[in-house]
This record gives sequence, structure tokens and C-alpha cells, in this order.
Amino acid sequence: MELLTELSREGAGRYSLPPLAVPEQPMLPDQYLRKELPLPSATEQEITREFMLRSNTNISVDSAALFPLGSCTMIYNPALIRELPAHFSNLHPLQPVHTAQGALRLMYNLEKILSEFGGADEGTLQPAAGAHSELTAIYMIEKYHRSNGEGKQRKCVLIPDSAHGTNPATAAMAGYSLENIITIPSDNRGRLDFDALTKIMEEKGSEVAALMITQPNTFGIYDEKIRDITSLLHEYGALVFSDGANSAALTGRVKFMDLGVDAFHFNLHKTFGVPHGGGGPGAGFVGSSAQLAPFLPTPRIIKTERLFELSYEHPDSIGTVSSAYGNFLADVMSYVYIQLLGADGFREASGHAVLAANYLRQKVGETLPIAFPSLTAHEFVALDRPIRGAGLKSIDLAKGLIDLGYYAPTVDFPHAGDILHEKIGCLLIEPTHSATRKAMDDFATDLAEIVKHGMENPEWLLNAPYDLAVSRLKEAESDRDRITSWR
Amino acid sequence: MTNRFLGLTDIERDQMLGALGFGSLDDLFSAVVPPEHQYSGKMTELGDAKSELEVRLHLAEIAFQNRNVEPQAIFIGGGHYQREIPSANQMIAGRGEWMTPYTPYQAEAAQGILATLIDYQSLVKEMTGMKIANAGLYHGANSLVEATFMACRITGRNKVLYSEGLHPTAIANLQTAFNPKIYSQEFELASIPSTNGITLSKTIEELVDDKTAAVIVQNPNFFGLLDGMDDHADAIHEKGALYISYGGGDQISLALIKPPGEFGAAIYAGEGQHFGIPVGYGGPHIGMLAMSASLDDSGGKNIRQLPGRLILQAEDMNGKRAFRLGLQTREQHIRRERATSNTCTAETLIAVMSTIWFAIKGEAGVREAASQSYHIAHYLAGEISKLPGYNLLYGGNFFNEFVVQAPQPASKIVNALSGRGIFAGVPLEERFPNSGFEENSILMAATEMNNSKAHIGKLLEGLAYYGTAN
Repeated sequence: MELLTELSREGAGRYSLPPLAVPEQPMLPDQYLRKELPLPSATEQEITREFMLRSNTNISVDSAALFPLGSCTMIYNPALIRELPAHFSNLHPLQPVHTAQGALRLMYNLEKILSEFGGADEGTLQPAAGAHSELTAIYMIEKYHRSNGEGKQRKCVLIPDSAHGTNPATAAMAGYSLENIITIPSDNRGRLDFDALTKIMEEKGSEVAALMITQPNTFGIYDEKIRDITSLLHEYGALVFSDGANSAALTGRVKFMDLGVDAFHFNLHKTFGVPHGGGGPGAGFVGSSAQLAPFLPTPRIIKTERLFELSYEHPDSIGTVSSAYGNFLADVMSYVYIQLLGADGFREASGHAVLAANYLRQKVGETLPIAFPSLTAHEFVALDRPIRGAGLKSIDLAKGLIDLGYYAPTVDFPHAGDILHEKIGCLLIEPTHSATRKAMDDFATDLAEIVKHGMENPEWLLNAPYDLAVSRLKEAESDRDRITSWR
Repeated sequence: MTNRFLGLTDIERDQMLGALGFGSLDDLFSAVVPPEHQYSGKMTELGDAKSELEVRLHLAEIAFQNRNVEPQAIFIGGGHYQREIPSANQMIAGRGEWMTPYTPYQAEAAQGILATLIDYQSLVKEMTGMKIANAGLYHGANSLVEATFMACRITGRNKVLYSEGLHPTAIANLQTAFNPKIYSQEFELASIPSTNGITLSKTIEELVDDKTAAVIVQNPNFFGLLDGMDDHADAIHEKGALYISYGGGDQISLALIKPPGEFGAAIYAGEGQHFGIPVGYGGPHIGMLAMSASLDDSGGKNIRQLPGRLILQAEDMNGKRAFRLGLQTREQHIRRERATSNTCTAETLIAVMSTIWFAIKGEAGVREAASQSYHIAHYLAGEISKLPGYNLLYGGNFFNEFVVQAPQPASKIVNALSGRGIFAGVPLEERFPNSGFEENSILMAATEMNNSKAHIGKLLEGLAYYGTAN
């Protein structure tokens, strides 16, 4: 692999535009001009080859034997959804609305469909990703309390230790101070510790703005007490946000709002078909109750008699979180995916996600202990306890797996060690509805082999991977040297 | 019709259910989720599965209700600029190896992504003249919000000033992000008045005090004018505040004008769409964020305040060069509520696309796009100001965008011209209501996509026609 500067040759490339059609104009005053622009130059063929070589080093959903990345729901992204956004890429967000009716109609309809999936009264597609959706929802809840004159009083946000990883940072970003972001422990069945929650609410109920709960949670466990939890919060005037990171387990079968939550989000890049892109672009949808809807960001997309329009007249709105209307081209992908699956297709997908997870859980359970005893929803936590004695950890299993062409499960999240009070790591495994039985069987067999060989020869596994573009990275040194660019 | 994207056949499904002791998917599901939590009604907003052909035709019908800007004469900017994008971009970035991986936590299985993000960080650094760029945030305004929080953390101060020439949407994003903090933690957010469309360093000096964490000036500013490039940095830094230069106007300008690193900005936030990303009805874009050499202390304290992913060069166990996500202890998955930001998934594929765009264009190609944007816009501005009743609102130095005062309401002219295949610009009062714009102001921009005498002629003719009370 060569970086662009290493590939660069002066004078190579010669990509050019048509000659300037207008007379040259007087230049800006010299003091505002830049003197040099040291950018690399190479031919189209060289660049194509370099990027082809680079792309071969990425394990992707398209190339992986299995992509069981817990809490991230890495499903196969159908070809059609990758193709169709091209029809919409040349729309300018500020062109007259009557010339962008198709785009507005698509967003309007997508908001309706996603609202129905979650049981929301209204919603927004403005957030660019999952964490951005959480933030949007928490802004709305904050503003709601403020508008009721309870903003100062309701200074606490409660977050179970089984919540999606971004939640605590989201609460902090929304202005809640660190001492008021309170962790709720889990019980030994992987459910939220209801007694602990009750105790905190009895103590601080009137100070609580919101509970951010993830359902099913990051252990893959569906909390049957969810309605008791939401009722408890409501008794004290607090609201509940349900993080939708794990919605793949529920689509078409369970509506968040039926569980008593006040707002939730969906990740269009986990649950609704948008590819992950190596870390984005994603897109987010926040659904809300009628009570919270006035606080949704603007502009809202509304339907009038003749047209779809952008509406700014929402005085209670939190404002805006987008540079226009959200990640629209990702919305197009999602809309295509939803149309391909249809309502029943989603019921099947969530059912299959749960089946695959429980099947693989049983298989992996023959090699590694599973954190919690009950059936799981769409993902499960496998503990690295048996290999600890040999000086090995979860991360070593991950490196062994990627060497065989699997992507690695999520490593050490959730923080199983803290939750189980044991020096231990874990793998969070989510096969999704895309997984074939053969891929899951092979994965379980290969994982067992890796554990076996690793126990016999820890050195071998500590040095994995062997067959990828690079071997195991040295980490601490690079954090110290901090080389972030070509020079 | 069954979902054709399921991994299991019906036979496999039934065998696996049997092995788990269940007769049907619904039985298994009800063992996980209590039946009383489930709903069984039919959806009203979504019908049955459609075939690929049906969906393709359905989307073609939706797309037909839009008028794509590419074949039109389009003079709309306002923070999103239509740029020429070589075919190689889609050919390369459309591959599944770029579209379908995850965030590169497993560095050994993602060297291609990581190397490309190092290229991306380097390109942002070269374009801006800053020292360290991150791997991208959601969009420009989001980067600005993050930059501002970063400045507050570094200075330990809570007051932020922004110039009136800041994009109204960027202001709205700042207000949304700051309002809860203004309320609960006594943050302040206030504007700096402009003079003839630009921010005078004298005005800044008067307003910055020892509580000010950051001063934000956009360049080119929302009116298209060069802004904040003189002695502004000194005026701000003297008082211990940090200068944030916001690249909200067309950032292709950086190929031609002095970059923020040379006029003294401490932090740069900017919109990366302008480097080869489709306008895409507003997203996905990418937010650029970078810090200056002077802000990067040797102990690395301030770099730890940088939000978002940061890619570092590293070595593998055999001493081979490799790349990885660095300084992860800043990030939400480790640091939880003490993280520098909650951002997780951001815009990697957009960074990849932008990198390919830079690579194909090369130094000469990037310069050419900037230079054409400049010359076409200046030619256009000159011709428009010759039309009866039309004036430029401001007389200052501009790059490729300017505000026109029309003799008729802006929205009337723009809507009328759109019927002639001309997107004349942004009617400011209509598109940014409650921002104090006048009814007859049109924001107009030109890029290399407007390099057509015919398009420009059509625009001028149309403006002349609708400039009278037709």
C-alpha cells in the first residue's frame, strides 16, 4: 500500500475541465492569495489500482464469511439500494421546493413508515447517525422539561449499564453534568435491576429528566419489565428514551411506543438496510409521542393540499441538528430496502435474527460460557473466562477470527467484567438474519479450534493474525508518536 | 412473498427451531418477548414486499418528480456547492469493499480504510494549513458545534461569539447545541455585528473579554465575502480566546486563497461536501475539523480534546507500517460520559469519496476547479450589476458567491426562472426565514459547473425580464 504522496509524480494525471468560457477576471489582492498547494498527482489508472489493492485489505459484509458484530447489526445490503441513490444525488437542498417534490415525498413517506414501525405519532430524519439521534431525542426531552418549568429541577439522566455504548456521552453532550448521569446496574439475569431503579426514583424521582434504555439491551436481552419501568418513570414525571440500536430484533413485531416509551430512534444503517460505509454515513430517525412532537427539529416536512413543503413554524422546536434535512441519500437507500422487504419481510427478518442468535448461542456455548442463562433476542455475550488462564483474552480470539475471514464480534463491550465483578472479557455476537446456517456452523467450529490451539500454544494466538495485510499492531507507541498525516 | 435476503431456507429454519425446541418462529419469539408486548395488526403505511423491478419503477416515478440540477443552469450555493465529480469516483467508491465494512476498530482487517483516512486527514491538513485534522464528523455545522465545545474545554471558558456572516443553519445548529448549556451551565452565545458584510477586528476587540472561549468567523462568509483573514486572530488570541475559522462557504476557495492555518486560526471547522461530494439534497456530507500547530502542545493535552475519530500511523509486530484508530481513550466507547464527543458512526465513506476526488483531480485539477469558480462568479457578478435595477449588496472581496439586490421579490424571480430551467440562486428571506434578510436578496454562486456562456446568458436574460414588473 502506498499513500497518495508516495504514489505522486509531478505532472501525472492531467485531469482537466473544459476551457474557461468567460473572460478571466481581475484576481483578489495578493495578501489574500495562497502561495503553494502541495497536493499529490497520479494517473487515473494508478489511483484505481491503488484503491483496488486497498479495498482488498478490508473485511466487509460483502467479503466476510460471517460478520457477527454485536450491537451493530451488519446485514447484507441489497444491490438495488446501492444503485438507486444516484438518481437523487444531483438535487440541491436549496432548489425551489416545487422542483424537489419527489425527495420531499420520499422523506415524508419514510417518516410515516418508520413512525408506524415504532408506533410514534411523529418523527424526524434529521439525525445523521445513531448517537446523533440519541442526542436529538435528549435535546427534545430537555426542552420539554424546560418548557414545563422543570428544566433546572430535572438534572439527572439514568442509564443502565446494559445501554448502548454512546448513551452516557450523549447525555453529557446534551448538557447534563457528569455527577448527574447515573448508571443503573443490571441484575444477574441481565435485566435492569428494578429494585435499584425503584430506590433511585424514590430518592431522586423529581430530579430525573429521563431514562435512556436500550431494548433489547446490549446483552441481547429483552427486558419483560419494560412496561413497569416506563410506568415508574412516568409516575415521577420523568420520560423514557428507548435506544433503537438493537431494533433488528423487534421490527414488525414490537412497537417501542407500545412499551410506554416517549421517544426512540432507529439506525437506518443497522435496521433498515443502509450499508455501514466503514463508519458512516448512517442515518437516524427519531420517533416521538404527540406530547414531545412540538420539540422535533425544524424544518419539518409537511403535506399541504398541493405540495410537500418545509415548515419552520414550530416555536417549541429544539432548532436544527442538520445542515439541511439529514442524510437524504441514505434515506433513499432505506426507503428502497423497506419497499423490497414489505411489512411481512420485516417480521420474518426479526424472527430470523432471533432464531440465528439463539442457534449460534447454543453452538458457541459449547466453547465459551454465555453471560446470561435465558434465551436471547438478537445477540449474546460469550465470556473469555476459559482462556484467561493461558494468558489469552477476548481480543486474541477476535484476531484469530479475522485471520480466517470472519469479521470479529464486538470485543469487551458490554463491560462484562464490571457487570459480573470478575476479571474477564467478552465477545458480543450478533449473526443477524443474513447469516446462513453453514456460516454459523463454521464460525462455531472455527472458534472452538482457535480456543483449543490457543490454549495449547498461546504464543500462536497472541501473534495472530498472520494472513492479513499486516500482523498485530503495536498500539501504545503510535498514541505517543501521534503521526496523523503524510508529513 | 418471502424476504429473499434471509440467510436460512425454510427447511433450515424449521430444523433449527426444532433443535431449540420450538415449533415456529412465533413460538420462539414469544419465549423472548411476552406476547402482550407484541402487535399483530397489519401495517397501514407499508404494503407487501415488492420485486426489484417494481421498486425500481416506483423510485423512477419518485425521481421523476424532482428536477435534477445537473442539466440545469444552477447558481445555487448557500453552503452546498455542485462540483464536477470524475467517473472514477463512483467506480471505485461504489465497490462493496468500501461500502459495507464497519468502523475500522479491527485495524488488521481494515488497512485500506485506515490508509485512506490518513490520506483524507492529510488532504484536509494541506488544504487548510492546520496541523492535525480528524477523520470527519457529520457535516460542517456539526463540526462547528464540536469545535466550539472543544474550545470551551481547552480554555475552561463558557462564552462564544460568532460573526453575523455565519451561515444561518450553522447558527441554528449552535443554538440547538448551546441552549441546554446556556440554561443549565451558564454558557453564553452571542453574535458579532458585521460592517458592510464583514467582521471588523475592531468590533471583535470590543466584544471579546476574559470569559470568551471562542470567536467564530466564517470564510468565505454566508454572503460570499472573504472574512476574518486580516488581523482577526491577534485580536482574539490576545484575550486568551480561540479563533475558530468556519469553512461554510465554498471550500474549493482554499485552493486559491490563504488558508486558515496561515491567517492564524486555532481551530478550523468546515463543510467537506465541497470536495467532490454530491449535493444529494443536503446529505450525506462530511464535517472537517482541524487544529493548528500552535494549539498542539507538546504534551498532547489539547489533541486529547479533539472529538471524532483520529487515524494514526503505527507499526505492526514485524515493524511494517500500518494504520489504526488512535487516542481512543477520548472516545465514547471507552470514556463514556467523559468522552470528548458522543459521535460514533460518522461519514467514513464520504471521506473515502473525497480522497478519491482529490486523487483523480490532482493538484492542477483542484486548482482549476477553484479558479474557474472564481472567474465565472466574478464575470457573472459584473454582468448582473449592469442589469437595470440589480445591484450587489456588498462591495467587498468575494470568492464565488455574492448577494444580489433585485428590483422584485427574490422568491418571485427565482420561482419564475426555475420554470425556464434556471436555478437562479437562493431567495434568502424565503429559505432562511426569521434571519433578518430582505425580501429582494438573492444569494448566487458559480462553480466550474456554470462554465457555459449559454447558461449564463439564459440567467442574465431571465433576470432582466423578471426584473421588471412582469
